[in-house]
Amino acid sequence: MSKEFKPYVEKNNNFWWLTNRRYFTYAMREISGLVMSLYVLISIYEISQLTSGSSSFIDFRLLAASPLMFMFSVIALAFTLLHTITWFELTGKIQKDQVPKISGKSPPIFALVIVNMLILFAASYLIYFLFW
Amino acid sequence: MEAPRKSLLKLKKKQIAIKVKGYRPTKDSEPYFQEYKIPLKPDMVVLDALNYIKDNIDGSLTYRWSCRMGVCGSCGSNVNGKPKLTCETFIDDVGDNLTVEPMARFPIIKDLVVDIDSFMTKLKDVKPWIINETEKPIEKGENLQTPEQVDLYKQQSMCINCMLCYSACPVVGTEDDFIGPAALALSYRYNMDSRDQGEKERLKITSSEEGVYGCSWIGECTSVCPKNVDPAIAIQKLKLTGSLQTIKELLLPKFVK
Repeated sequence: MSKEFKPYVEKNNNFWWLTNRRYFTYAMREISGLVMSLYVLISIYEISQLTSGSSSFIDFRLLAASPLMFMFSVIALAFTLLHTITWFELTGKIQKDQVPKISGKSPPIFALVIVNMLILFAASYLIYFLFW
Repeated sequence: MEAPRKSLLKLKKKQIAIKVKGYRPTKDSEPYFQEYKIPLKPDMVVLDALNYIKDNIDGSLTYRWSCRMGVCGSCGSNVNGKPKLTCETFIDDVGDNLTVEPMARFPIIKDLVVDIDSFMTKLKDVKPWIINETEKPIEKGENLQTPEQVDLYKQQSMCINCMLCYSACPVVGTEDDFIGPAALALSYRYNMDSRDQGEKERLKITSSEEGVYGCSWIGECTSVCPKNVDPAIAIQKLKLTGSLQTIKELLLPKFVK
């Protein structure tokens, strides 16, 4: 006896993000949001300890110097760099058609990414200079 | 005379095995692989192999094809796990252990044939045609464009609706309503056309919940496109235009919008 005609819908493989370099980068970029959020929470805790007096802050500094926290900071830095680099790579691609042409040609994406990065560094230094 | 393909010389094989995914909707509960042995010929593409199987081994094998020259976009399949047009995928390039499956993320109707109804609906939703508020009379002449105006949309206009980008996109696999790469790229293509006045109309659809914001900038759609269309970047540009439009609507008085 034949069964009812029904198109087959394939189930998603839970490990699809390991099957391709682009999928993996995407998954890491998504995870980077979580890692960075955790780092921000730790930074907020650091500020709260700083306002609670010097002994609390010293305790926090000791905690921050532990190998586990050091490892977490390195991982957070790696994820932040991944997020930043891929973000600036994207903005360069979008800006290509938005910026004025030089001698009838759009500037190379690489040059736009470098300019964006330089603006980021300059803005970060300005914030550091003004508030630190 | 053109030199023979180097990899073919290396192969020195007269026969290859090819695994093709089969599914009979009224008999099988799930797809299965069937292996066929076919004679290898120089410059043979995957579609030639499928045609050989259909003509000589298994007449029931079902798949779509038409032009055999990478134009019609109907022969898309997953070849060794990657979305490809079978008519322009040389067996030499994909190697001996060849597997052909239906495009991923589409319901399978039979063997390599998938149900593309959802794509056709999404494509129509983004209005991929020139929209004009007022029709220009014929006596007023053609709508001329400069080469620079054509350059703004030419790349995205090369889409042949082969749907390989849908097969490559993980968001399509998880969000059924996501409009998807090709339809969004075509929406961008018409927005950028100097003859078109339908951008605001399309932005309402592309900036909706099912639209561009579902895309997480994975970029696999662009890498698998056989016509070098760049849906990934078109979607990001639509995000920018859509966001600017929303800001305008929120901040500017009605007569400026």
